[in-house]
Amino acid sequence: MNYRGYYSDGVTAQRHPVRVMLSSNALSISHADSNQLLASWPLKSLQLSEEVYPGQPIRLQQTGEDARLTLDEHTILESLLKVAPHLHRRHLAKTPMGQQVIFWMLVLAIIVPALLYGIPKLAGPLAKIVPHEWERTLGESIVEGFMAESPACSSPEGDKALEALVAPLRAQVALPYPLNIQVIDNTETNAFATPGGNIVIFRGLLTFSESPDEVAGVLAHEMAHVIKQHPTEGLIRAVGFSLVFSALFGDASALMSAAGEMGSTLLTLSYSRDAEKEADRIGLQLLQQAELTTTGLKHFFQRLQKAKEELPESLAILSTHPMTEDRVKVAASYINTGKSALDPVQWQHLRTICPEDNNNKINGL
Amino acid sequence: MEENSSNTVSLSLSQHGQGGQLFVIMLINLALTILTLGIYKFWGKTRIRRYLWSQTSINEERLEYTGTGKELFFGFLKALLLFAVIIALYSLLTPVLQAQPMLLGFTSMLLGLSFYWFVGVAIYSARHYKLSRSQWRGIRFGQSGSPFEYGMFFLGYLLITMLTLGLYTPFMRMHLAHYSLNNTWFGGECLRFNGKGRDMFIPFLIAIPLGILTLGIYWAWYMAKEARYVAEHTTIQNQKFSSDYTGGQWFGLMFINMLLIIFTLGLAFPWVIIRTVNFFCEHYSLQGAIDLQAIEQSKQEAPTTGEGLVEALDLGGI
Repeated sequence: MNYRGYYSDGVTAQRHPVRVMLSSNALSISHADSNQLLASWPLKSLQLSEEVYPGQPIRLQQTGEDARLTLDEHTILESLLKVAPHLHRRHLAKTPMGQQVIFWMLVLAIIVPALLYGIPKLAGPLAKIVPHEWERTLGESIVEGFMAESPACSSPEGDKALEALVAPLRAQVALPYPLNIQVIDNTETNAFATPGGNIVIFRGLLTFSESPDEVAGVLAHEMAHVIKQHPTEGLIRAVGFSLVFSALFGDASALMSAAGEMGSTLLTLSYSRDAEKEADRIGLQLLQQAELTTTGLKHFFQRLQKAKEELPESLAILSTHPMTEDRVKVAASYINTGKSALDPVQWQHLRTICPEDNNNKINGL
Repeated sequence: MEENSSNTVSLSLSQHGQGGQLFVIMLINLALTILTLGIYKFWGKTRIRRYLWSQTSINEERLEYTGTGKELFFGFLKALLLFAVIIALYSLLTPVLQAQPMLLGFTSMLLGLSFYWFVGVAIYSARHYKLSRSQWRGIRFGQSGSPFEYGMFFLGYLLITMLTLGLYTPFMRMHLAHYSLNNTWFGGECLRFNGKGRDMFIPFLIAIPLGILTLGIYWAWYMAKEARYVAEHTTIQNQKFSSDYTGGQWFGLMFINMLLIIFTLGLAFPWVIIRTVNFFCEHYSLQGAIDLQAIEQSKQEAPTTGEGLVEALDLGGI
């Protein structure tokens, strides 16, 4: 059978009206007026140049070559698909659009909730297979980032006091990396753990704490995060969510992607409540094993709870460590048998570990 | 449209795409991008381009996009690697530099400036990639010139524009158009642009107070005027292009696009794209007629990987 079309030879931008003949293994293309044979294309290297929609001319080519054959009528497709079934992939006219929309909407309706549910579930197991070396490198770079703004504090007596506080707790845990605990010169009341065993205590936390046992409690809580690899898990979760959200909103506009950003942060936060509870429990156990008093953490939580009611915006620690009645109750339920973490002299040394001129406020508290 | 081999022909643009079809493509892209945690993005972008190109025709023959997702993906990886090397170098050098505040200030400034150079490089390489993957009647488009040189011009003009409190803007725009248009090829045929920044300077001076008075709306009229000026000063085979849209039409297009996006929460995005391509096809044309037989296949080398820098810098666009 004969088909009419246009042929461009890939050498000039001229196009020629042609007649096309389809045989069992080739397309022969000859000039419509002179009947001169312009090209003979083997079917096995024949390719549709793009997806075919209803009403759109069909464009054919030899793989990797510049010459193009264009046919306005779709009649050739049916016979072509019989002898060259590999062309099917780009022939879209088969599936009605409505069906495609419904199918892919369903796919979306399944995978989006599945991922939102699955990512937190997967983050824990994934955190376990992350090489420790990666965790350490990542953790160090996070800590360095903080130190660029607030330098680390160190004084001979302060360092000794910090070591005295840490040593009994450290003796209770076995970790694949050394615990690296530092105080930084920042007035916010906060402390955090990073992947790879780094724990950062803000000077503001030492100022806020009324006894060394409160600091020991917070430290045990952060060490529990490290033991359970919560920081690594949290980062994996955050990256996973932000990937999903950026895929969801990435195309639309900057505004939508900002909304996506906020969404992923909120989700990470809400999941961290479970992690906080677990860290409380393990932290309290650590204190007991180290024969340290658990009243410090209880006291710390009670004072945070009170601060939350009075001045909810004043403490940074509340935004990453949501405080609830529940947590206070759990801390209070542990029977206190242990001793105090530091003697008053050591405690004074720890509180003044940061340079003198920044410490004026301490005695007033 | 029959073309006699000895004659010249005029060119006309038309657009055949439908928002619904593009919507389906974008929906599939979305699902696959989420499933692959973002990796499919590059293939999805390629799919959208292949659709848009193949729905735009010049003289009833559609354009063709021959790029692949793999090329875009590798281009992106290359750009990421480049940034990783730069960041590593900088963090290695920081301790050394911190000892000398002067030197540190100097390197930070250099790094800040090089960002704008990178933006210029990214814009030009993306354009290079897209043109080299575009064909019409089997003849490839192309771009000569160097992205690095364009980046230097981009940075330089930007600095002059800042120093002149924005007054240099029309000159910057025309100089950059001059560089990219005079390096734009269709096969062996190069575009010629002879527009001058000074011709747009008075309209620009008028546009500033009017723009402020109309809360920026007048800017659409300046853009329409500039589009007209650029088209009329661009030629292929000595034939001028033309653009005939008014500021009002341009404003109308942008305003309705914005409303469509806002009131459908972004769902109308595919229709917005189709409307916009339609708009350009309706308003751009070639004034004279050209000899297509004289246009031969391009012998230029094409880049082997895609516009990674644009992706890495998140400069977006289709």
